[in-house]
Amino acid sequence: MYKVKFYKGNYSARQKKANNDNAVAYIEHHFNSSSSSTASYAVVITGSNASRTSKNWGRWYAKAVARFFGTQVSGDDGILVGGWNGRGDGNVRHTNMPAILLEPLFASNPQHADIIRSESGQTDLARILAESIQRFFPDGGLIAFSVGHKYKKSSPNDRGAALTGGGTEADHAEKVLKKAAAMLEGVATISMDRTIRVMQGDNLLFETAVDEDALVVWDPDRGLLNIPE
Amino acid sequence: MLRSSNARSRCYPISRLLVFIILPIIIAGLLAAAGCSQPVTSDRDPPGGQFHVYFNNDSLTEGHTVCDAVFPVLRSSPEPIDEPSAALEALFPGPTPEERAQGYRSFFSARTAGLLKHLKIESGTAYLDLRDKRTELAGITSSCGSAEFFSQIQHTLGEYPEIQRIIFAIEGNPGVFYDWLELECDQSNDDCDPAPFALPSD
Repeated sequence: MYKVKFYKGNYSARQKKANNDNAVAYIEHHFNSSSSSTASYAVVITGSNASRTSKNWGRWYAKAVARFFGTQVSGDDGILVGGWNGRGDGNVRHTNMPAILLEPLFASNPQHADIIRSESGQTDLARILAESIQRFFPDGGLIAFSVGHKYKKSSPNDRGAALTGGGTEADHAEKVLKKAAAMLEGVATISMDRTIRVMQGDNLLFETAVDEDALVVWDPDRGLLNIPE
Repeated sequence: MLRSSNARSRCYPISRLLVFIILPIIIAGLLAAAGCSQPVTSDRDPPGGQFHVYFNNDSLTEGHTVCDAVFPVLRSSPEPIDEPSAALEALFPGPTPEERAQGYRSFFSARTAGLLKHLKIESGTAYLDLRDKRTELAGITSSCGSAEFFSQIQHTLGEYPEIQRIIFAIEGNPGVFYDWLELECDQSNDDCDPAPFALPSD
């Protein structure tokens, strides 16, 4: 269903190639950074000319990341349209297809950096991204991936921010994208049903389809997820 | 503004940069060591100019990280301060240990103290040429980091009314700076024209 292609070169060239290849979605992966070691939120940058699909997709992804890792979303309900004072706008504005630039966690936050460095953290981030793509682009197609900072002809040594405790933003963004690519290329079909899943780490313990209108209630005191018949 | 137009003293042999980042009590000690007769004590205002540099401080934003929210801290100099470049030279070493203890923070630190290469102001535009410290400042290439960087510089230079906009360069090349910060060359930065950054000797 999905084919994933990594685009390299300067940002405008990457977007132009993705346009020429008729990609259905474009994702550039970064991590955020601050001089504060406690900064903790997820945000997605969309182009100043972003479509409604890009904005909704970006918000869905940012909120999913924030819920999963127990952080917040920033910007306008999770997105910065046109970036911060234009920063990041050019990274996605030249695409013909929906495009988002991800900053899910802070490389400067020691707890976030541990997540980013870990296999499980990378898998969790990749799964949220892959699920966002399946949700917003259920018909499949070519997905364009771009690793932020890395592979630019203009500054080939750029790796973005340093991860607190070791490593670089770009190298770990690439690891997440590679995992997401493997997940997407393994998708055979996409169920249009609403599903409920129970997962333990990477293991799917339970999955069932539920009625679209069903009010599913989690009772933490009883440890019960109640699905109406 | 707290900038002073006090007369310039001729008795300050230490470098201007050091004068900006040390406390008045230390200045007094250095002056004494240098043989200056002008007394400077910690219980009186230092002679010369005072001005502000701006840093982030989460304790002033209710503990939240607000990337572009910056707050002034006072810098004093025994010399009159009317040059924006002096303010930048005081900004780029970052907060003092005492200020950091109060919550002030910045990507600027002792490692970036020499960041300013040259500043030229022409027709309301500040052409700010930086030395290549991209490794030390790698964190500013994110959305939050760049907001902190730009806000600290814009507010510090914002105290000088002759400056209406700022164009940046690294080692005389604005294209390198804006490419690094993932900003496009357009009208807002004069399409990254390097000509205004040429030094007189170039």
